[in-house]
Amino acid sequence: MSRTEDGPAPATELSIDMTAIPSRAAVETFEDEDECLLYNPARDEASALNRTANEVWHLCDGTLTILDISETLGERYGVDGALLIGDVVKAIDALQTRGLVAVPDDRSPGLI
Amino acid sequence: MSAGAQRLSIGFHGRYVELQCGGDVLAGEVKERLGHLLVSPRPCTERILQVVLSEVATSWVELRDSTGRVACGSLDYVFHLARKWITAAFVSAHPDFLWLHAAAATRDHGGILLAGPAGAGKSTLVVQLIGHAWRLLADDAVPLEMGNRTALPFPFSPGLRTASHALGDDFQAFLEQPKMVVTVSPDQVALSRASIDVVVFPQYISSRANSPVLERLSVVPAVQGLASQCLVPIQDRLRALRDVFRLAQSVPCYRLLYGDAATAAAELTRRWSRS
Repeated sequence: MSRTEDGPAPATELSIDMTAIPSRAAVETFEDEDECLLYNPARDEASALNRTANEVWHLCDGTLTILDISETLGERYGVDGALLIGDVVKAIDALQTRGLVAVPDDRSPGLI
Repeated sequence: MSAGAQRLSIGFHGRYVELQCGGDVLAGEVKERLGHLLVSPRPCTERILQVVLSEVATSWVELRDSTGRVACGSLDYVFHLARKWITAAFVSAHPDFLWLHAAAATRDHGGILLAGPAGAGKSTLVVQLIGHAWRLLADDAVPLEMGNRTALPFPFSPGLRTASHALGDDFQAFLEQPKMVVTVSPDQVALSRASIDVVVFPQYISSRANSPVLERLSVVPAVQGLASQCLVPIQDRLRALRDVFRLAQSVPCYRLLYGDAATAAAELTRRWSRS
C-alpha cells in the first residue's frame, strides 16, 4: 500500500459504471462440479476460475448489469448485494484482463 | 553412405525414422539409448524422417536430418536433440494420439502415467518402478490413445541426472547436468499397450525423504498439469485440451510429494499394482 508522510494513503475511490453489461467471450469451457477452466484459443491461454469467479462468469450473460450480478449473488447467498459489488468488480476486471469477458464500455469496471 | 556407417531404424506404429550412424561407436550409442524402438522396417512402412549422425572430432558429433536441420555438440547434447526430433516426427505423423511429456510404466496390465515438467523426477521414478517389477512403457514422451485411455509403448532408455536434487537451490544447474543412460533389459520393457489406471504428478521435496505423500487432485488442476505437458502444435491445442479433460475426469490424478524416489516407487507400487 502506498503511504503519505502522515500515514496510509486515502482509500482508492471506486469508480464503476454499474450499468455496464458484461458478456462472456467465445471461449472453450471445461467444467467439473464447482470447478471451471476456460481456454481462450485466440490467446492460447487457459484460466482456472475459483468458485466466485465461476459464478460471476456464468452471470455475465449479456443481459445483466454489474449491479444485477451483485444483486443476484446477494440473493443467492442471503446477503446485501451491495456488499458484493467490490468482489464482483474485481472478478469481472480479472476476467476482462484475460479476454474472457467483454464489457461494452471504454472504462474498465475495475478500480480506477 | 560412407564406409563403416550403419543404418538403423526407429519404429513406432507403422512408421519409422532412419538413422545413419557414422561408425560403430555412434551405432552403439543409438542401440543403448534408443534400442527398444529399433525395428527392421518392411518395405511398405513409411519413413518419416532421416537422421544422420557423424563424429566430426573426438567427442564432437554432428546431427543432420532430412528437413535440413543441423546441430553439433557433445554426444549427450546431440542425442538429446535427436530424441526431440524423432519424437516430434512421430507426433506429427500420429496426431490422432495425445502425446504428453511424461513417463509411463505398466504392471499386471495396469499403467501409471508420470507427468510433470523437467526435473520433477519422472525418469528416476520410472526406473525405480522397474525395480518393483513394473515394465517400461515410455520415457520422455507418452502416446495415449484416448478412446480406451491406453498408453502405447514408446520406450526410449531413461536418462537420469547424475547428481541429486541436493545440489542446492540452483535448480537450473540441476537441469543442465548431463544424463546417465539407464540400461533397461528387454524383459523389463512393455511390448503392448496398457490402460492408464492413475496419473501422478511427482514433485520433489527434500523433507519428504521417508514419507511420500499422495494428494488427490480435482479435475481442473489435473487438466492444468497435463495440458502444460502436451506435445502438440498450437493449432491442435484445443483438441488436446479436450482429450486431457476427458482423461482427468476418468482417471484419478494425484500429486506425489516425495524426497526419495525408491520410497516413492514402493508406495506407488503398494497403491496401484493390481496383483
